Amino acid sequence: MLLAAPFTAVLLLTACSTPEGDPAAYREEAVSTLQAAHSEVESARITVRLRLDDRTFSRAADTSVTGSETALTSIAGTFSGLQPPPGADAVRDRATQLLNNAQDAVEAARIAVRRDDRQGLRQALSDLAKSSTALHAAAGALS
Amino acid sequence: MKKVFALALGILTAIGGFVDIGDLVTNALVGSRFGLSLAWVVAVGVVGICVFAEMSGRVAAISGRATFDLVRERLGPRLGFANLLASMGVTFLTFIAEIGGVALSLEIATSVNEVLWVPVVAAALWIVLWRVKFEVLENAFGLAGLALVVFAVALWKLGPDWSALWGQARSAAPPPGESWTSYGYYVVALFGAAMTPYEVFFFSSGGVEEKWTAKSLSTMRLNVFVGFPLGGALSLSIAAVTAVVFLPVGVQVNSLAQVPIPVAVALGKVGVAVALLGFFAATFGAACETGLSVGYSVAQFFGWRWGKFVAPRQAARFHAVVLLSTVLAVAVLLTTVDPIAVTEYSVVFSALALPLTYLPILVIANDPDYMGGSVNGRFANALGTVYFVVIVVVSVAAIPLMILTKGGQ
Repeated sequence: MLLAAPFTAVLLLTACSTPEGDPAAYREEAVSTLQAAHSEVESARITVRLRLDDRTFSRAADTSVTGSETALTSIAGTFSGLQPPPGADAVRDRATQLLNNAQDAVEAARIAVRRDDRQGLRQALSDLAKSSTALHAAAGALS
Repeated sequence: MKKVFALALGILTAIGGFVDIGDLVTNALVGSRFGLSLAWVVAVGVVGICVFAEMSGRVAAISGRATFDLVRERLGPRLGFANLLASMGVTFLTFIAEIGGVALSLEIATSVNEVLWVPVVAAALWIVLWRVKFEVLENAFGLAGLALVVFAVALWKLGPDWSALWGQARSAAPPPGESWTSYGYYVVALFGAAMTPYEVFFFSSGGVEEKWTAKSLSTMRLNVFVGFPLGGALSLSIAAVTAVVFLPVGVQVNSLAQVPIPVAVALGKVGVAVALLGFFAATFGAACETGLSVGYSVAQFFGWRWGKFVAPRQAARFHAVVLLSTVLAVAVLLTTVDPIAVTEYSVVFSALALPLTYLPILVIANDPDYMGGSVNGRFANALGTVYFVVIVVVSVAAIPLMILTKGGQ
């Protein structure tokens, strides 16, 4: 009984500590993060294309792109909260850079959609396409 | 001619009323991730809901009493109460999801945040449940829900590779990059969405509200065996359009605002407008059905007067339960919980509670004391038993799959 109490306390304390992490698991997490971000960027890209072609309403496009922006913020926030294991800094830096670019592109798309700014929409479409391609390629390279 | 019109109206209402927020979200999400490889689950679920809706409708028509009216009497107070808690809990969760779905539909149309719509929707819903006649409520939203046919039209207009879609539907296996556990999780979710418990509570209680008798059986069966499968076809068309537009580019649906995008690709603004009308009607209609179902189950279990066929003053406790559930649902949604997440959990918890909902129906439909000569025949019993085994397997698998896949990720 005397031995069991400290043993249990050590077990509980280690359960609460931040794990160092396994490089393979971190890499897997990076791949799923990039895939989820790619999904949101592609969704925003299709919506902007539809808005440029006047095939959807401004408010419906706004709700859809804002949804993608919110989801992307959550995806990026969750990934940045992960503790990278030793040797995984390059993966972290690359993924973080791509996620920041994606957030910027979707944010610009949301502004253009709300302003109904056709020039802004064209620029956003181009940026979203670049971001989508980069995210897809990075996820493929890491997996 | 009047009879034919009533029959057509019943079938159209059954089609339009089949799809709710759970079907909308789950089918769109599944189509975008798994293509049509889970189409068989919708087919299995539709046959299942037809089997049990027919039984519960027959019980209502022959005995003149709805499901929960008989549950306590037949199963005893303890088992009956456990049944009430599980079924009502799931129906209440679905009610929250449906109100959230209406608010999300309005957000798509207006860009006003869904949280701001929640109290407005709840107030409108309560007024409708308090004032509007049962037939008007059922027919108006059922018919407006037919606007979701726009997904079938969009699928045809997209001109997909039909043989590729058929190939996906035949494969019954996860596409590359998806695991069997995720596939299993969405089998449970789609099955739960197709066989949501409130559908049978509402169907049997509606039968009592509309004063069905043995003469109504053929009409009821036509509504079930024609209307529900066509409603299931609507669900499949939602999965198919997202499979055509989203799957090839790797977009996974996670919000209601993404669901009309394939319709916009195919049909433009007119299509989006019709789809939004369909979303509103389907979710508002289902919110009415789930809200009433919570009231029906509690009032029937405790033997209170219930329903819209009596004046509200005569069914005060029934209306109080409906009002209280509406207020509670609003309180939950105002915490800014994501209605889509509530929807995803509601379909999985529906799957978990299925045995408790469907066992009493199977038992009562076999009891000659209630049913006389209209007890289940051999075919209905064989199908009912096979489906009950499937329901138990799905129910047992629901929680482990939810944990293993972290909610389908």
